[in-house]
Amino acid sequence: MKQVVVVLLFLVFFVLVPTAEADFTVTDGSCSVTLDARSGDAKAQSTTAKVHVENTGTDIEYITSNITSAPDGISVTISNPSFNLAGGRSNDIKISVTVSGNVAEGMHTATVSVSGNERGSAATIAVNVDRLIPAHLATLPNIIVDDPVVFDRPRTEMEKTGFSVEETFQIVNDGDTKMTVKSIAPYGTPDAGMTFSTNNPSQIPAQSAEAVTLTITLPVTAPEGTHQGKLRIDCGEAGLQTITITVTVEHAVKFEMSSYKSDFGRVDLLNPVTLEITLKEALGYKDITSVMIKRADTEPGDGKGDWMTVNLPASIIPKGGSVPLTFTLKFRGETAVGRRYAWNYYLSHSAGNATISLKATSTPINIGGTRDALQTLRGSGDQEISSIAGKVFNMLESGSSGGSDDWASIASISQVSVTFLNAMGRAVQKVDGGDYEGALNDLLVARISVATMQKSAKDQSQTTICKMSNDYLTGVLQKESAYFEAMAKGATDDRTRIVAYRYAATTYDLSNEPGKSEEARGLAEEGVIAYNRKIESANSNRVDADDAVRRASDDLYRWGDAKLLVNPFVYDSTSDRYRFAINKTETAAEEYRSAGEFELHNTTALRADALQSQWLFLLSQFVVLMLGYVLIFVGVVAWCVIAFTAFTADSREEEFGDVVLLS
Amino acid sequence: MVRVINLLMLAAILLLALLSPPALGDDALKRELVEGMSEIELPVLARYQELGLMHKQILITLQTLPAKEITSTTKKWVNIAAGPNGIIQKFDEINNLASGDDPGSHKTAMTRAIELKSDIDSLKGYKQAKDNFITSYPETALQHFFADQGAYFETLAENATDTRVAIDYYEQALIAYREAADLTKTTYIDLKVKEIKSEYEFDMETLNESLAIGVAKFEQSEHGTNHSGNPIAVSIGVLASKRAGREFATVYEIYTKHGDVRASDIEEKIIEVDYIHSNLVGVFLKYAAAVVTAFVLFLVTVLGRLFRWGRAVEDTMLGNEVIR
Repeated sequence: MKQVVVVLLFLVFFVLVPTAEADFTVTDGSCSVTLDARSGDAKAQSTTAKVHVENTGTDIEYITSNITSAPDGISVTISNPSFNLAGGRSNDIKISVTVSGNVAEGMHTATVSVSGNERGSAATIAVNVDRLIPAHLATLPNIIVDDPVVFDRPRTEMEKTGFSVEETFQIVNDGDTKMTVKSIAPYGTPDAGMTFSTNNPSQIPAQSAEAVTLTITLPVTAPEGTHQGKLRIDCGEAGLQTITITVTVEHAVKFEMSSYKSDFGRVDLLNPVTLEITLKEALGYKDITSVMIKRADTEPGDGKGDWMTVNLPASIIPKGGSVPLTFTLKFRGETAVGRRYAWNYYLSHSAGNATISLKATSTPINIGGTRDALQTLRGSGDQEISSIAGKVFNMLESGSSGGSDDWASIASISQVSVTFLNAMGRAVQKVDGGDYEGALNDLLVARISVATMQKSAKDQSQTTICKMSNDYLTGVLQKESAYFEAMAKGATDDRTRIVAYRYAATTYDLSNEPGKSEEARGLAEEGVIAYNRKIESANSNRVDADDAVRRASDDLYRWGDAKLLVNPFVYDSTSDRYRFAINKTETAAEEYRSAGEFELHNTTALRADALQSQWLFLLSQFVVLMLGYVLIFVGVVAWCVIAFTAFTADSREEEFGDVVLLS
Repeated sequence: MVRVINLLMLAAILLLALLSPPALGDDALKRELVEGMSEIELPVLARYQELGLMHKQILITLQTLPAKEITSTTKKWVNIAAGPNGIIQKFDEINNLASGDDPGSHKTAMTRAIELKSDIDSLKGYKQAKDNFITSYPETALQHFFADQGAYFETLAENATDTRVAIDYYEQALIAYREAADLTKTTYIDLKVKEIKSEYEFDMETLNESLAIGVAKFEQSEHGTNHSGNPIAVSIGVLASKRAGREFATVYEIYTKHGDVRASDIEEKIIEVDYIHSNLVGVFLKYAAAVVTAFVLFLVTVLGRLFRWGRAVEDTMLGNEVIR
C-alpha cells in the first residue's frame, strides 16, 4: 500500500512542477475600424493591432510570427515578424490591418501564428468593423392581434362606425441617418372591408425606434373568423415594407325574450287563450341556433301537457330578427274547475337557456258571460234581484282574485244565479200581472236553480246567497200557493179546481212539501175525471143538438137564405127535433158551466137561445102560413059558392029568357 | 301442462277482474263528456228555453263533479240526455221537423215527441241526473212543444178548405193539446172535431143519397139519349136528366162546402147532364111539335065539323022556327 502512495506522490510532483527552462505566452490582439458608407461607398480603412508575447522562461526565445489567415477584404501584415525575447520579458507583434470599404460590419478574425524556440502558438486578431450606413427601415414583423374583436354591440348602433381595435408597433430605423416615414397605408384590399389608420411619426432618428398606433376598423359586415390585410410602410430610401395584419372577428349573440305575463289568469274551460312571447337576437351578427323548448324535466308543473300547445315555428332565431313563441292554453273537459295549474318550460338555444313558467286558473265554460249577466242584473229595478246579483257578483270577483280552491262552487253558483234571477224576474212580473199560472214555469226553473245553489254552497257568503235566493223564491211561492189554495177552495167548477190543485201541487213541490203536493195532485186527478165526464157529455149533447137541427132544417122549405116550415106534415118531426136540440143544448151549457168552461157555456147558452128563437120564428111563420091556408081555402070555397050561385042565377035567367022567347 | 297454464292464466284474469275497482271515473271520460256537451249548439236550445237550461245544467254538473264520480253510469245518462241519440238531439230533430210548413212533418214530429216521453222516463231512472235537477226540464219543454203543435194544427184546421183535412188537423191539435195538458183547448178542439165530423157525416149522407139518385137518373137520361127514337124513353130521359142535374147540383154544393176536390168531377157531370138534357129536350120538342101539329089538325078537323054541325043545327032550328 505504501508503495502505491509513493508512486502517486511522484506523479503529482511531475505534473505540478513546470519545466522552467523556456516558454512564452501569447495574448490575442484586436482592433476596430469604422467604414463610412452613409454617403456612397466606404473607403478602405487601416489600423493596427498588437499581439502581446511574454517570455515566461529564463532563456531567450526567438519569436517568429506570420499571418495564417485573414478574412476577405481585410489585409493583415506584420511589421516585426521576428525578434528575440529575453526570459521574463515581453514584446508586441505589430500588425497592420487594412479593411476594404466593402467589408461587412461585424467582427472579423485573422489568425497569427507565433513560434518560439521550441514550440508555436496561435493568436487571433479580432477586427471589429463598424459600418456607418444611411437610414434604414428595419424589418418589421407581421401584426397579429391576439385578442379577437368581439362584435358585441347592436349592429344598428355600430353600422356607421364599425368596430375598431388599436395595435401599437415599433418602426425601427437601424440606419445611421434620420429616417423619414413617408406613408403607412393599406396595401391591396384588406379582407372583410377592414380599414387601417395609423398614427405614426414622420421621422425616426438614426438607430432609433418609434411607436406607431395602428387602428384597425372592421365594418359590421365583417364575417366571423380571421381576416388579413396588408399594410405598407414606406420610408422612402430607408426602405419599404409590407406587413400582414391579422385580426380575428368574433360575433357575439344576445338573446332577448319579450316581457310576458306568466299568469294567464282565469281561463274558461274549452276557451283557448294564447300568449305570445317574442324571442329575439338583439345584436344582429349571428343567428341563435338550436332553439328548442320542452317541458321542464324537473318540476314540470301540474298542468296537463295537452292543455298547453307550444308553437315554436323555427329552431333558429335569425340575427337581429325574432321568432314568436306561442303558448295556447285550452283547458280540456277533465280540468278540475277552480284549480290553479302551472306549466314550466325549458327553453334552450345556442346563446343560453331560460325557463318559462306559466300559470292559469280554470274557470267553467262561459264564466265571462255570467259575469256580464250579473252586472246587468245588478242594475235591475227589482231590489231583491239587484241585491242578490250584487252579492253573487262580489263573490265571483273575490273568488277570482283570491284563487280560491272553491272555484267550482263559485262558478256553479254564479251561473245558476243568473238563471235563477232571470226566472224570478219573469215570475214576479207575471205574478204582479195576475198571471199566477204562467209564473209557475219560471218558478220551477228558479227552484231548480236554488236547489243547485244549495248543493254547491260551501262557504258563508255562498250560503248567504242561497238563503237570500231561497227566501226570495219562498216569498213568491207563498203568494202563489195562497192564491191557488184560495182558488181551489172557492172553485165551483171542475176546471178551476183542477187547475188550482195542479198548480198547488207544483207549488207544494217547489216549497218542498211533498205530502201536500201529493194530496193536491190526487184531488186534481179526481177533478179531471169529473171534468172529462161532463165535457164528454156536453160535447156530445151539443153535437146531437146540431145534428137534430140539421135534420130538421132538411125538411124545411128554403126560400133564398130563409128556411120556412111550410109543410104541415113535417111539423111534428121538426118540432120534436127543435125541442130535442134546445133541450140538449141547454143541458150542454149547464155541463160546460159545471165543468168550468165558461166560454163554451156562454156560447152554448147563446146557441140554445138562438135555437129557441129560431123555433119560435118557424112556429110563428108556420101558424101564419096555416092561417093563410085557411083563409085561401075559405076564399076559394066562398068564391065557388058565389060563382055557383051566379051561374045558377044566370042559368035560371037564361032559361027564363028562353021561355020568354019561345013563348 | 298447457291446460294447467291456461287454467292458471284464467284464474289470474278472474282474480284481477275481481280485484279491479268497479268502473271508477277517469279524466278521459270527463273530458269526453264535458267537451261533447259543450259542442252541442243546436237551434232547439234557443227555441225551447227549458232545453237550454237542461244543457247548461248538465254542463255545470259535469264540470263540477269530481272526476272520480264520473263513471260509465254518468255516461249513460248523459247519452240519454244529450248523446247522439239523446233527448236534446231528438228534440232538435223534432223541432226541425216541426219548423217547416209540411203538416206531415209536424205529424211525424208529434209521433216522435210522444215517443220521447219514454226517454225522459229512462232519464228519471238515473239518480245522478235526478239529484242534479236535470230531469225536470225536458218534460216542460215537451209540454210547450205540444202546445205549439196544438196551436199550429188548430190554425191549419181553421184555414183548411177541405173538411176531411180540417178534421185531421183538428184531431192532431186535439192530441197535441191533450199531451200539453191544456184542458180548455182540449175541450174546445174535441167539440170542434165532433161538430165538424157530425156535420160532415150528415152532409155525406145527403150527398150519398143525392149521388145515388143522380147516378140512377143520369143512367136513365143516357138511356133516353141512346133511344131517341122512343118518345117515351126521351120523355123519361128529359125528366131524369132534370132530376139528375138537381141531385148533382146538391152533391156539388156539398163537395164545395167541404172543399172536396171531387166537386170538379161533379161539375163535369153537371155539364154533361145539362148537355144530355138539352139534347133530350130538343128531341122531345120535335116529338111534341109533331104531336101538337097532329093534334091541331085533328082539332081543326073536329072543330070544323062541329061548327058545321052547329050551324046545321042552328039552321035547322031557325027553319023550325020559321016553319013554326
